[in-house]
Amino acid sequence: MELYKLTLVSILNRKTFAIFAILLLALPFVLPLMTPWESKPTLLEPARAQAAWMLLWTTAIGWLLFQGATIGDRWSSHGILEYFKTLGLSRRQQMVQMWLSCFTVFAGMILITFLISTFTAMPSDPVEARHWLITNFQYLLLFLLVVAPLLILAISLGTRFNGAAAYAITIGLALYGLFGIGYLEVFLADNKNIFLNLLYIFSPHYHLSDLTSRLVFKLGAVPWNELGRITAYLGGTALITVGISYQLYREGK
Amino acid sequence: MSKNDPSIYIPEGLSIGYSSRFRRKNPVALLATAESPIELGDGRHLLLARNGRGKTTLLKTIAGIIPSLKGAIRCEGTVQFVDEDLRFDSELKPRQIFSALFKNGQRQFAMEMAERIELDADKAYGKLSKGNRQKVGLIVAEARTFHNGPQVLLLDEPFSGLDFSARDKVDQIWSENEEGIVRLVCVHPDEPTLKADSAVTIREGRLEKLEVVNGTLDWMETRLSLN
Repeated sequence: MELYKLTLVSILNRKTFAIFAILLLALPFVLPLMTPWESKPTLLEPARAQAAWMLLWTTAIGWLLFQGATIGDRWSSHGILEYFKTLGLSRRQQMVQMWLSCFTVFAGMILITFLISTFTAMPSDPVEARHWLITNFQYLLLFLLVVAPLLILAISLGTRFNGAAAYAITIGLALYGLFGIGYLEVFLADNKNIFLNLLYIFSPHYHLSDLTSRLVFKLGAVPWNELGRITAYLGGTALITVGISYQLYREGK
Repeated sequence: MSKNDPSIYIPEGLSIGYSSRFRRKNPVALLATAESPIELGDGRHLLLARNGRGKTTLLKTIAGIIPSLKGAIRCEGTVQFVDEDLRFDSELKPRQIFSALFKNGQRQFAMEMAERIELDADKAYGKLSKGNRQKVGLIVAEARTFHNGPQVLLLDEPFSGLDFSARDKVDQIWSENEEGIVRLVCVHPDEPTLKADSAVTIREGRLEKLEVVNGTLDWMETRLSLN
């Protein structure tokens, strides 16, 4: 696990994670207070959960994917990955160790969000509270199914291209899957273009993992059969992403 | 040579170079071929050739980073290839690098070697001079060999930025830790300070082994033969 330790110490040493961790801790409490919440104080708690999860998405896209892309680029162009290859560390092991080091730091951020959303915004009604807790766990699962493979992709693209290109491609894919597809869907309502329909079908529907509105509007947990379908879809997308990442990965430039 | 001894065996006919299926013109770039088998055991072996003749390519082929064009090299022992361009995170201090890569004895060895070759282990890697960065790579390679079984060390121009004093100290450290380690050291043929057990040369596309008498090369002759 030497590459894991080297990467982890490199991330921790740069300290940018601390800025995001502080924002994740503070902003869910601050941002809702910047709204006219006095008119309806009961909205304050769902708003806190919304802020917490939105900030986690922002951190995943703004910090985590950037770390992956730059680490892949740095280690590949500096000869570190070739060095570990000669020591017998396979491509798969290298990818896993780099991924794990980024995720070790990010796990703390996920925990902050999960705790804030679960325990500082939970409804007082026992039935709603139960649904709230389940929804948070479901959200966590779906969030991980989207973010974890995107991180592998960012690392892998970083090893092949440069950090900026790897980050741009991954962030583009993430934003398209989360928000762009919504616009495409609206456009397709009045358009029967086959190409655009195919694009819609084969696009990664990451927006399925976003359960923020369920929390904010207290819509209850996702029904289990529906969750199973979404998990299977995002799991399949994750496998494809990991497969592509494996093919793109390079130990040296 | 016993089964636990490290070694590098280059068979007769082995060819090194590059091949690419995407290149229409010259898909194969042959750099050198071994005309007779070469076997390297414990000790220090210099790899000598002029620029662009395939020194780094040979090291990378031995390390398994790039495939040979023909034949297969056999290595006994843990292989380490330390590239001349190996760089660590500029924000990390050598002490942090050693802590991340090594435990207990090896870490202690790394810190002691850093002290011996006068490397400031508490200065950020990015702020170190070229020579001091080279020292970090050398220390990483040497520390890993410490109590770690048979080792094959492939060092690509490890002295390119080192002053004579550091070079002498590394030379001394190598002499103290020779058992169970094959060191194939790529150097320019104008560094007549190094001792060696043998030398591998690449000249006119031929990979050859030069025997060394009394641990020192006849550098003048070597230089002339490479030209």
